[in-house]
Amino acid sequence: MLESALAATERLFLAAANLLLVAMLAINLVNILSRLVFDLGIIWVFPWTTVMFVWMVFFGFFVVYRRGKDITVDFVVNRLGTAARTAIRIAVDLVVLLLLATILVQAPLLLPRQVGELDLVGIQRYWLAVPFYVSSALIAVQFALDLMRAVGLVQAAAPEAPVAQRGPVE
Amino acid sequence: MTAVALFAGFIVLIALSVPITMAIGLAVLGALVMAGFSDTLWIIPMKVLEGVDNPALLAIPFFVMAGNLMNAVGMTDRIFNLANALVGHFRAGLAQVNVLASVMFAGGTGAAVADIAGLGTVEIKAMRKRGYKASFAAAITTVSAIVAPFIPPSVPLVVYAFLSNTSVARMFLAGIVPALVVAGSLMLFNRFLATRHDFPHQDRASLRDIWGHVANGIAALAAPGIIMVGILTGTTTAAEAGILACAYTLLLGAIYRTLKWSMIWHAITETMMITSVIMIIIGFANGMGWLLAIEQVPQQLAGGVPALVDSPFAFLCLVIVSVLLIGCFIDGVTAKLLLVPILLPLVDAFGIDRVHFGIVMQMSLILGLATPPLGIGLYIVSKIAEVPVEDVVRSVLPFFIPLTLVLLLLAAAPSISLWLPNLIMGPG
Repeated sequence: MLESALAATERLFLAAANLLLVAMLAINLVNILSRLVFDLGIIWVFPWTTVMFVWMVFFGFFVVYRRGKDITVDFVVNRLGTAARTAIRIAVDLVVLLLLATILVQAPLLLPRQVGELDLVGIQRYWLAVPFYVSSALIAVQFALDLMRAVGLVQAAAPEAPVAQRGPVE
Repeated sequence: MTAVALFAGFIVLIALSVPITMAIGLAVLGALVMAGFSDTLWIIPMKVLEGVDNPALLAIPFFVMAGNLMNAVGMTDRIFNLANALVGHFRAGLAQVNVLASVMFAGGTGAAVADIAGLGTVEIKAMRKRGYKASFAAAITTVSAIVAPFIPPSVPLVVYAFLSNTSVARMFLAGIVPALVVAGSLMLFNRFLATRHDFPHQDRASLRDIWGHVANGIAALAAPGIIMVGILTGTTTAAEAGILACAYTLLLGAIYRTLKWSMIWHAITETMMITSVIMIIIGFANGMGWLLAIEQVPQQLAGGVPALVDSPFAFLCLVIVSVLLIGCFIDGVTAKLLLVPILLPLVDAFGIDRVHFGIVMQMSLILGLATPPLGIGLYIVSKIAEVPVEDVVRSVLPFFIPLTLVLLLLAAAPSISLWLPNLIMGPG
C-alpha cells in the first residue's frame, strides 16, 4: 500500500520535474528568439526560470532517491558478510532519517524567514522551499520503509540498495 | 577540530555507503553540533535552499541535456564515421579514430560518461569486429573520454567557475588546448603501441568518401561553436547558449528523422535526475562551505601550507597527488565542492591563476574515471565490451604514462591553459 503510494508519487514528481525542465527550455527559447528577431526581451522569463529550476531540482530529489540514482560508494560494504551488511543498512537508514528529521523539524523555523514576494513571479519566497520539504518527507518515508524491510517488519518488494555509481557528469 | 570532524565524518559515512548527498548533510550536522550551533540547525536547510537557488548554475541542465539529446538523436554513428574517414588509415587506425571521435563528441556533451556510454558502444563494436582485443578497445574508449570535460559545454568547468568566481567563458576557452594536448598524447601513445602490437590495418578513405562523411557529420560538431559564440559575443547567457545547443540538436534530429518521443523523454528524465543530484550535492556542500568559512579553515591552511612547499609547482604537485587519491573514491563534483573553497586562498597566495588551477584540478579529478576501485568509466565500459573490469584495468594502466605526463605538463606550463583565453578575452 505504502509502496504503491510512493511509486505513484514518484511518477507524479517525475512528470512534474520533467515538465518544468521542458517549460524552462521553451520559455527561454522564445525569449532568445524574441530578443534576436524583435529586439524585445521577455522580462519575466529569467525569474520564472529560476523558480522552475529550483522546483525541478527539489521534485527530482525524491525521484533520484526512489530510483537509487544518488551516488553511493559501496565497495567497502560489498566486501562484508550478510549480517554486517544488514547492520550497516539499518545504521544508514537511521542516520539518514536523523538528518531528514532535523531538516523537517526546522521547517517551522525556516519558512517564516523565507518571506517577501519574488519579483515578477508574484509568489512568496517560501514557496521555493515547499517541494524540498515535501521531497524530504517522502524520502524519509522511503528510508523508514527500507528500515522496516531490513529489520524484517515488512517484506522486501522493491530493489533495496541504490546502485553504486559516481561522477554523474564527469 | 571542527574541520577534522567534518571530513572524518564524511569519509566514514561514505565508506558505510551512505548516499553522498546525505553524507555531506550528516557531516555538516555533526560538525554544527560540535561547534556549538545546536540551536541554529535551520542553517542546514537554509544553505541547501541558497545553494540550489543559484542563477549562476542555470546552465547545468541545458548542457547536460544537449549531450543527452546528442545521444538520443543518434549523432554518434555520424561522428564515428567522420573520424574514421579522417584518421582510420593511421597506424592503430581505430584506436586513433576512438580518440578523435571523443574530441568531436565532447563538443556536444562535455561529459566523459556520456562519451563512453554513447560513442563507446559504436567504437568497441567496430574495433572488435576489426580484430582489436576487447579489453584494449575498452581501455582506449575509457581514456579517450577524459577529454570530454575540457571541451564546451562542460558542466564540471561550470561548477568550478561558480566555486572559484571565474568566468565560464574563460574556463571553456582554457580547456580547449589541454583537451587537444590530451588527445594528441593518446594518439602518439597509440602510435607507439602500434610498433609493438600488430594492430589491424585500414585503407585510406577516398576523397569522395571523406567528403560524404564530412557532410554527414559536420553538423554535429556545431554545438560547441553555438555555445562559445553565444557566450563570447554576449548574445546569450551560458544557460541560453545551452538552450540553443539543445534546440539545434533537436533540429538536427528532425532533419535526420531520428527523433523519437521515447528517446527524448528518456533524455529529459536523465537530464533532470543528473541535474538534481548535482544541485542537491551543491546545496548540502554549501552548508559545509559556510561552516569551514566560519571556522576560518581556508585561512588557517593558507597560513600553514606555504611553510611546507616553497613553489607554485610544488604546491600544484601536492594538490595533484591529493586530488588523484581523493578522485579514486569521490566523484568529481563532490571533490570540487569540498576542495575548491579550501584551496583557493592557497592558490591566490602562491600567485597561481585560478583558471589554470581549475584545469589542473579537473585533469587530476577526471583521471579518477579510469582508476580502480571506483572509476565509473571502467564499469560502464566493461559492461559495453563484455570483458571483466580487471582486464580493462590492466589495459588502461599503460595509458597513465602519457596522461600523467600531460598532467605534469599542464601544471608546469600555465600558458597551455591560459594562452587561448588570454588571446581571445585578454589577460584575466
